[in-house]
Amino acid sequence: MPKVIVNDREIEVANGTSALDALFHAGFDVPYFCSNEYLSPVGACRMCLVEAGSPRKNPDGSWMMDDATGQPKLFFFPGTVASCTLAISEGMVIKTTSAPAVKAQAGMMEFTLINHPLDCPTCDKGGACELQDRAYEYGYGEARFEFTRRHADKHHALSDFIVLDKERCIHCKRCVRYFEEIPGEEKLDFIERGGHTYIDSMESEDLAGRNLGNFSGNIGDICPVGALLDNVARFRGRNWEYDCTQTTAMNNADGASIWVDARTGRIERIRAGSNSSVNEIWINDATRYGHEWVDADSRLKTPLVRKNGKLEPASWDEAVAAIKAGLISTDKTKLGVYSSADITLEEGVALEKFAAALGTINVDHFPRLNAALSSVNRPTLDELARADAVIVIGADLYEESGTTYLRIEEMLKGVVSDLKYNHGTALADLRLKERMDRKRNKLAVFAPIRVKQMEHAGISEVYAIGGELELLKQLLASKSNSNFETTPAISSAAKLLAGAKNAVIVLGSFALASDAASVLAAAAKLGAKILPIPAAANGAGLEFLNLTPGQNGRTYGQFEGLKTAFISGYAADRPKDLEFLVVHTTQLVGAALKADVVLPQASNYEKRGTTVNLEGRFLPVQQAAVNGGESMDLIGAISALADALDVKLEIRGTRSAGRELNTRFGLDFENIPLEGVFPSKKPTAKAAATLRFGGGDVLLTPRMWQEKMLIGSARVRESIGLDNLMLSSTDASKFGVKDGEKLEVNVNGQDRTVIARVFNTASVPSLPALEGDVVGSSAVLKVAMAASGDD
Amino acid sequence: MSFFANKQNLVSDILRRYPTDRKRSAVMPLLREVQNAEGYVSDERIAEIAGIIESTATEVMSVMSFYSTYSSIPTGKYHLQVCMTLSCALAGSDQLWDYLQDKLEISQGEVTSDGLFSLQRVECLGSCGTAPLMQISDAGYAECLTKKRTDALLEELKRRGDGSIPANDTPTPVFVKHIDGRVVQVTSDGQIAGGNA
Amino acid sequence: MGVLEIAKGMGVTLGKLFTKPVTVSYPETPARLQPRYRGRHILTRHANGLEKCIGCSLCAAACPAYAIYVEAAENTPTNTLSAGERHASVYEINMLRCIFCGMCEEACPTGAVILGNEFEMADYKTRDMVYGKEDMIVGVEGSKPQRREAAKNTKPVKRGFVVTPRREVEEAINANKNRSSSVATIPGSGVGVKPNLELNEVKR
Repeated sequence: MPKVIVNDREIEVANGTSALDALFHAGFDVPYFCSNEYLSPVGACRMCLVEAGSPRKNPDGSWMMDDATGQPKLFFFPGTVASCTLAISEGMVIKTTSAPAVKAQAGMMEFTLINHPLDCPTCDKGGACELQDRAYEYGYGEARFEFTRRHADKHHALSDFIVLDKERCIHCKRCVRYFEEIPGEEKLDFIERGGHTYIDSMESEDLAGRNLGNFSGNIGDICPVGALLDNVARFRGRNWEYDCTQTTAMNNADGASIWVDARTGRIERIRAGSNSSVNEIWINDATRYGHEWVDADSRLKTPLVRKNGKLEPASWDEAVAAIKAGLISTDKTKLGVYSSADITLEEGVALEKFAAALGTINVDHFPRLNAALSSVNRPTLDELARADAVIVIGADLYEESGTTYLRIEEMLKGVVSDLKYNHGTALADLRLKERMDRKRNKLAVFAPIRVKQMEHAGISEVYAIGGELELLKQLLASKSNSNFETTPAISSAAKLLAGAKNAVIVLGSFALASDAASVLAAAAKLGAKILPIPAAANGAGLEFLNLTPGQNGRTYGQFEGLKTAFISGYAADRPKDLEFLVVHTTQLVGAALKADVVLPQASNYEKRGTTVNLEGRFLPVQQAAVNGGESMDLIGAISALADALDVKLEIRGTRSAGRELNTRFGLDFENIPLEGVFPSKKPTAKAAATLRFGGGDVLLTPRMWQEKMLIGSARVRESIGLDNLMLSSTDASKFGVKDGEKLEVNVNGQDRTVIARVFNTASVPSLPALEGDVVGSSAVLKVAMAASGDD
Repeated sequence: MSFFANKQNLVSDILRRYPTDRKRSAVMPLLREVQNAEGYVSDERIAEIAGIIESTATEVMSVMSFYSTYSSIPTGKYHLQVCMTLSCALAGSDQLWDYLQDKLEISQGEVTSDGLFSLQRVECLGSCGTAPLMQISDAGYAECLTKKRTDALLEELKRRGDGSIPANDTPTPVFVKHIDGRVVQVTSDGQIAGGNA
Repeated sequence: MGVLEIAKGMGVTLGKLFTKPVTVSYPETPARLQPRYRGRHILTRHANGLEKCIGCSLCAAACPAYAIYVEAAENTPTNTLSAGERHASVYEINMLRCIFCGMCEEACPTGAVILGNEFEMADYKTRDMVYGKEDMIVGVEGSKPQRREAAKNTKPVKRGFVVTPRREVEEAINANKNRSSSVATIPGSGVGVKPNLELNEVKR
């Protein structure tokens, strides 16, 4: 490895290292604004100026010597150079603290600050601003510029979530590069030039209003100044006032790391956390902006008990008494206990033990697949990013799993930002370039509708809904026999698969909805690693627990014969024939409206525990400083239920649940590292028959935004626009629906407005074929046609 | 209405100049075609060009807004670009600018009601010796402008009205000579140039 | 110790009997405060009537007693409270916690919060000791209990002290008296707005 001398320290770093990384590795520091761990180095801000010189070689390969010293002669660059775009070479000397370097850095800082408004007191970045810090460390400390500063629009809304302050922008180009390099959608660019330059987009005016795609919020995180700001958190608090908690997002199964910033008991802001092997530093907008429901007025904060036919606020004691009265005559072993699958493992094991203590076989978690995800050979996300072939089947990853989508984008670039130095991930990875050529032919995307990812895939095809098994069969046949007669897309995908060493097949909700077991079995035959997207946040973890119905037990959704039930999480409708229903939820919607007792549920930001992401990685969930009123997590709700039923519980808290899990997984559940861990032993995963819901006629495409986010935030409702309801032309004429028409539909018992999208192509067949399946965010609806087409 | 729809030969001719996987390179000549034909580049045209070069409207907008030779707002048949840089400023470009504004009754970014003239302040046009001067569209310069010469020029342009301009009556290069103790400008053929006001 | 010393001491005592006392019988006689005496805070306004406070929370950050709580909100065309984009929607000082050190005044980038001279704030309930914007905005005279008393008796606020305020306080009060409540201009924006001179209802 080449030796480099930084100031007085000699270090060894790998070839291809940038001078910026070399000097940080040596323990020195220079200011920089445009470099970022996961973006290409471009030298736009000119802050990382250093003096650098290298020895040169003679044509015969010997070093050119300095006669005076007898050492190889150093040839310095004239003036200072930007270290982020400079590759190191053997014997290079880098000076960061010499007088010319220091003067150049301070001088550049002065230029940067010339037009900066210095309105730090009103800026949301103030206190966490790279420009503030760097100006303090490297600036002159005094402005010599005495003329009028540039004045520009201070509130330029790039989207409903992002506000641009044109005055504060220092033109580092991080946001422009981000859109092209990370999600691969060019949304922003510089407009005008010189001092008039600003960032804007012509791509944002889409159906949903001003919208920069699903990953737009990340530009606020990487903006080194307060130019791009989170509009949801605008003026909510100063950076030093927030209680910051790093936890794992539980709105989907990605396991993305997030920072939850709370103030006076409210979540004011969510930022992306850093987990280099999962989400790197990116999260999608639903994860970032979909938190307002936690503090919305609609949030349930006290128990409710039905008195004289009306739900009325009550204390937990009253709720326990009401449950006791309601369940006194019931057979404990017949009680149905159900929970949504976005609970922590600790809560899950408490539920399992509770069901065991009751002796009931009517236990389930939802939504879930009918197969164990751990039964297939899953890749890690890093392996996915390094794969030489990725085949996505039946998934709209852009909506279903943002992290998987971005890691596949990384695979297309062919460079995983994995260079590690003393200071962490490389700040200026010279292998990353602007507008890199994408290896589009390494990606094949098959889905029943046109999905965003197809734009980036060399091979793509829309197949008939429900045709996953057939597709996998043809892929297998075509892989083993290149003359097999099939569509061009399938045969090229099979060829890609046959020639690949590290192939990954990603299976999404379209593919896994109806029969995950058969699809996973068929996919396993292809000899590649398989990444199935779980149906819910902790679906990959709860499958290890005994949370599926026993022999003849009632699955969630099939409540025939049940007299009493406890449901935790969002349930659509009160099951028929039920005599007594206890619902544990965060918002008074759906089944909760018709429940006998409603218990307030703590959100996933308000509890400690462990979740398992789609790779099977165990990740910690931490408690943020959020005021949830009297709400409790599932363990608390179960304790109340146990009190009412006089059942003795083994697990009465997160700690005792953790001890139980320790023995099962061989992990220390008190100390799961933030970057996650894979357990040393895995219990056999449980699988049970598919959940079945009532019939439906149309297909709602998956969406990263969840019901509760829509209910809890007017901003989200207005800005993301309406969901698309996919209809074939046959169905459309059957219902009398026109393309683009607004419809009132009932999604799992929740009224919702959607836009009808009518397709004439044969690829969207008449939909009743899909009847009855609800998995993940892709749902089949019951359409309330009476209310349709009014507005 | 599409601009390039009936100009497929032109489009393919322009695209042929660049590698097939680097269609984005064609952004400048396509913008120039539109600018020349319509006097400005509208958002609609930007979207059309983005479609041809398989890029985004944002990027085309970015390129277009960078260069001052493209205009995003409509211009007249004669787009008068008045040099405002130092030499011209010393020779009275401010007065020229005010005079043009008063006479044409328009200001920067506007077009006269007959669609003939529009005004723009620009930086150095590189002919300081004949200051003050302006560039008329892309057709040529009008130099050594006085009130009288400006009036005559505008009359002539109005008479023509087809985008063409009269021949430059101050052929450059211009030399400064001392004649009889006076400083005068002399053209290359020895004539004394139509002097400064 | 001799008789002489005792006589000397008694002499001093006797002598003091006939001099004027240095103490004042407050509250019957008003206390005379020094101009720089630091008392209850005043939230000042610009000459055009807009509040100087921009809700930046720097006073809260500087406060060694954690007595200040600020919530900010954005100025809208219909609700413009301060110059610029941001105003304080909630500005509270817990006078029980406050040690009147003046660090908030030091930290304030716009000179919005200054320490006045009022100190008679004794009250019965703890929650009444939390002073909001409406209790501190310039023009409000007297402490909460004093104003309550005045309202009950329909008499002006009675203060138990006299003081020549220091320059900053005097200027702020005079500027408020002379301010034009008509159309104001947001500095730097060139936009004329009708300032919202009513205090917003505090939403908690």
